Amino acid sequence: MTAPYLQLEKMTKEYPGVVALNKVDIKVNYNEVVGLVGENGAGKSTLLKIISGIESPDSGNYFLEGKEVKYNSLLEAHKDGISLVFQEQSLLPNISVAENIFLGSEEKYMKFGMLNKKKMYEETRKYLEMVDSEIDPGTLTGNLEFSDRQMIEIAKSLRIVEESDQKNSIILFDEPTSVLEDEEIKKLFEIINEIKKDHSVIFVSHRLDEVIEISDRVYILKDGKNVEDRPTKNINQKELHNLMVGRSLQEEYYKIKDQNEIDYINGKVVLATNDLTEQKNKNFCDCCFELYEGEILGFAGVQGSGKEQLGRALFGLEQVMGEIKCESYKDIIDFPPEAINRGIAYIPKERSLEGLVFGFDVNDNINLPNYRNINKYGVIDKEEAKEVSRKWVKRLGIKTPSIHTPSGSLSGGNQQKVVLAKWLAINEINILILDHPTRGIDVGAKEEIYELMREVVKRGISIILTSDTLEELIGLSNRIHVMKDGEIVKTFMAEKDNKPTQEQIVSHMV
Amino acid sequence: MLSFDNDFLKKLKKYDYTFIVPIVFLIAIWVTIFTVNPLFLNLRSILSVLVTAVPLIICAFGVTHVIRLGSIDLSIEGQAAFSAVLVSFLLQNNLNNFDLGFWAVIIAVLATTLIGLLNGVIHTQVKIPSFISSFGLGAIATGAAILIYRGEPISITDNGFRGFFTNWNFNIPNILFITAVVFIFLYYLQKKTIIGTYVDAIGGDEKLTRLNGIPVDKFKIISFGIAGFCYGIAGVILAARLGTGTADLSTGLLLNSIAAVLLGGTALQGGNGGVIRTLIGAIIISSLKTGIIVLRINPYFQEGFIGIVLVTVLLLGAKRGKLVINK
Repeated sequence: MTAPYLQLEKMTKEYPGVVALNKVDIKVNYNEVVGLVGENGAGKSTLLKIISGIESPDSGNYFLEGKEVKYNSLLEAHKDGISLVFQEQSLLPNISVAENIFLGSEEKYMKFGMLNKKKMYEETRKYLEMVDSEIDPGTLTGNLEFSDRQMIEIAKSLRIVEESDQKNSIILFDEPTSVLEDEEIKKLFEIINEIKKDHSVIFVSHRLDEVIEISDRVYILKDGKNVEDRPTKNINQKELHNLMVGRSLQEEYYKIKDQNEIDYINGKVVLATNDLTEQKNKNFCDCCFELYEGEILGFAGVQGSGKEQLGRALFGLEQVMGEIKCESYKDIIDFPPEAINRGIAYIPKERSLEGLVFGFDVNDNINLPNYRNINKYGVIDKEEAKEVSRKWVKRLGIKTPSIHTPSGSLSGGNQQKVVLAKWLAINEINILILDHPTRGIDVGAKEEIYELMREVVKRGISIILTSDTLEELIGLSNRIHVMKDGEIVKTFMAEKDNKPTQEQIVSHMV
Repeated sequence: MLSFDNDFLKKLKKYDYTFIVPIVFLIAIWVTIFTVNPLFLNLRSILSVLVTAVPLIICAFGVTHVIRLGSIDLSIEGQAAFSAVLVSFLLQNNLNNFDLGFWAVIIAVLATTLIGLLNGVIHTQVKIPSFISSFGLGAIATGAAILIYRGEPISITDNGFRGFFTNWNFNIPNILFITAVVFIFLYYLQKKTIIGTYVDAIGGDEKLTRLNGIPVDKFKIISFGIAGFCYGIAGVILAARLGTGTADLSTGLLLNSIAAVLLGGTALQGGNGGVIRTLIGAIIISSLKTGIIVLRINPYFQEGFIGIVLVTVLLLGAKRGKLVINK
């Protein structure tokens, strides 16, 4: 038996606080299109980064055409004919298409230090033809549509594998379809089928139907481990989804027995919206919902359904029309301080970008929104601040050497607790908007966050939740609104002993 | 029916209007000057305005590459002063009795090129922002210049040297030829070599450029070296024109050079622009100064007036919307 084109054995990669890949095995045969699916954080992107040399694995073996290889950079992998089509585009907007395609390997067109652009443009046209594109090579890349740039990205990959002069090569696609229209996807698939004649392909996507359509075989990743691989001939979307999500609902894990009972008839409504519509892109339209005291209200939906934007709107981060009724207020919320005045706090999913000031220590981060309450004529009461942060570090069990440790050096789970602490430290906060609160943190820390959420709602605080996985959403929520194309299409009750299944919810999501 | 409308509008929308605003502005200045004083409408006076602008133009050329990188260079005045004093020191003057002749020019320009390279090395290897490294090196260069002549101005007595930079040939001042050579050299560097492409790429997104395997640090260091080279030439011209070398010869060049680059439409965040734009920007500043004299505006208004023009043109012509960061 001949060796497969590319083979990974027991690949393991650990980031601070989270195991991204755990002994993953993968094989790709010659001229094969292999699909890779999994939920957010399952390790798909990490796997591609290892294959393409951007990241080095902690342990594991990497074989190419039977020989063991080790790459320390993208360029080393390029030389062996391995090329990655980036999810976030890697093209520079301020230089021309041709310059982008040949960036870093212009030697061929150099003569006495001068660059022969004419020849470079001609060569570019050749690669653009391969992806069926008629763009002028001299166009400024930033002036092009997103889908055109995607094609240029693919043309660049073709250039890389062709220049590597290897007989066989592989092109990795990291979620290439997430922003393309149907017509463009069709074109992309034609190109992939064309590529397949000479090269192998790994195709990562969230859209399971596409993976089934384009790939010969599909690998399913879950929590950094591979579950199994299946030929796509006899598998359907539902099966694939079940394999991807895996375990059945775990009551213990989500502390379901601690779930609040909400009285939907006489209970207090703490927040209600009326015809809430996002103005610019209509990410969500005419959304009406009510949030009860002590409730965890989940929002389900695929990427782009508008669930995240809805949460952001309640904190004044989106431009909206409509009505947000909260306490005695009735108008929309324009900017965050207004939201905080109404007792609304928002915990973003980009912890490192929006949640924490990394250079600040734990003490400063916890007190950041709270300083407005503990100052006298603008002078901060430092002793009180320290007392507040010590109290919350203790109450939430934040593992930190001291309150003066820089927040950036904590693990993901503890960072998230610091973010939670800074809002809980403000007494007036009674609504928490949690946007993917357990993203990028490991299983143990997730459980602690769940426990914390249960404790918080017991105190009468209400939570609006969006989540990475449906399982988590179902496990935690009292009620779930399903969103599709910016509208709330269905509502599920999710009482302790009567949780909806994932299939029920998924059927309304797509 | 006219069928161009849609395509035409699209093209118009994509057209880089930041290029037009400075040119329109420059024409407006000269039309104003000619209307107020028609006697000014002759080649000689226009050339003399250009000649006055030469040190500014050349310094601004140098800093253009650095700004396209997304960096900044605050050592312009220091380096130009150092070059001016060094060249006067090495030529025949009132203090010494040796004359290195043309070698003095080469040594002075080489010295500032090295300072520029050192500037790039410190910025990229010690990893401190360029505005700090260049500010420090600029101060050191000024200090070195003062140290060379110790407060006693050096008068150049080598008339051959002065003549080379101040004479006219074919009815055109010599230094305009020199400026043209520098311009052509930098223009080709920008348009025809990979240095130009990489400088734009780095200014566009340094991280992405690195990911494509491009030695970013090397090209940054080269760019700072090129900048130093330009400041050196400007310093030599300043010394030749005044016939003396002192450290305050270059006063005002720093802000005016950066203003010239910005006026031309090169954005401070890097990744676009170039020497043609800078040429226009520098000529605008120099024309404004002439205009202030011709229009008999109180010279005390000069600085403030240039500031107002700078802000106005930037408001009209700058590509905004992206956060300006001085790397």
